[in-house]
Amino acid sequence: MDHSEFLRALEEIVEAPAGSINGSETLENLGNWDSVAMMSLMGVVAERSEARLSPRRMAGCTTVDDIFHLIQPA
Amino acid sequence: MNARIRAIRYALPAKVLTTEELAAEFPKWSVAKIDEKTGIRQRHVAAPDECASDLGVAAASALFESGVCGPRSIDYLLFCTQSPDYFLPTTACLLQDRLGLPTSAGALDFNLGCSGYVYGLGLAEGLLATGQASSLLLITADTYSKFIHPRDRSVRTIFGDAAAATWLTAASDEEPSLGPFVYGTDGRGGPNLIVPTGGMRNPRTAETSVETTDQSGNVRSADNIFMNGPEVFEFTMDAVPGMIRELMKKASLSWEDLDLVIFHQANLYMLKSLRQSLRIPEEKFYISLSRCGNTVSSTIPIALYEAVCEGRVREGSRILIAGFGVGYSLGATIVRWRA
Repeated sequence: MDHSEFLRALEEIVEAPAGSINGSETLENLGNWDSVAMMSLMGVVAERSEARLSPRRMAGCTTVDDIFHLIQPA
Repeated sequence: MNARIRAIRYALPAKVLTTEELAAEFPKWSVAKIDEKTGIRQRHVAAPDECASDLGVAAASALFESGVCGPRSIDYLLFCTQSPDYFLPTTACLLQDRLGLPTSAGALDFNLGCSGYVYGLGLAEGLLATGQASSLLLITADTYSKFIHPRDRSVRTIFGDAAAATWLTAASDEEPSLGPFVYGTDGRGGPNLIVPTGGMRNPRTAETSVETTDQSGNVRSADNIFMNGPEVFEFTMDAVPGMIRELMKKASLSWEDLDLVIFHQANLYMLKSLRQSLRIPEEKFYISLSRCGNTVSSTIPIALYEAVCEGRVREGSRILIAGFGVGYSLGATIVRWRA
């Protein structure tokens, strides 16, 4: 799952206009970022890649890109 | 000897909470979004003076009124709830009296949530197969709404109150009607779906009733139910596929051998994710959420009853059922329908 695909999936989940998220946004200021959005993102990542997102690791993230980095191969 | 399910009925409280009403209360969530994520159009909510036992009586009465069996024929009652009328006495004892079951009947409560129906069938199989009982009533009933803070949309959109009554008898079927069974438990997940107070560990006080707002804007106190949705989702996606594969192996079955798959109706998003993960054929995967939501231990018997009414379960149908959630606790089995 590349950066662009990740951002577009996230936009769909939080109901943000296409192309409006670039990754630098803080999760705190991301409209509609809640527990349901977290679950949706976990599901999308599991469906479209080999990576798995853990709620505990997501809880330590500040920005959108912090989450994206969690699904990158080590 | 072994156990056979003979009939199921269920009961819902009269009060209905629609998705439209919830969307009006939580403007950030549209009807479409609640629908898409939960698959639930309405939930039934118990009245202030309506308890799990009352719903259980309604479900069992529907069973008796259908004429398939009568209260005097029951010699064992299993009652599954997490919202009992009292700490003591045992709600099943009170139900013996209210339902008019013989005083010679055995009766017990067991405290499980979403896995409760499978565990109840497992207990019933043991009691009926060993001759300890010959005609058993399994009632699942919960009123989670009494634990829910009205401004906590994370749980209010999902859970509904209900009860289901399942009548089982001893049988001598060559191919057992229930089993094999697979179980699982991981108590590390306890804090992720919990009512923290009200038991002996943390009695309710003025302090425990203080409300807080979480990052998603949901309001609750320690006296209310708390669900860490993402953690429960992760557990489910990790644990359930393995349990299902183990059951299929134990039963020497493949998807082709099954007529229907009924999972605990947690929410639509979780069900879809599990179906995709396990590659279960869509036409064999039963979803029955829209009318009453996640009714905890009653979702599986309600879905099974509905599937029978719709003709999707017929005489001889082989159905895989699986429950998973609070505890964490999980269980799965195969039902051969011979009602």
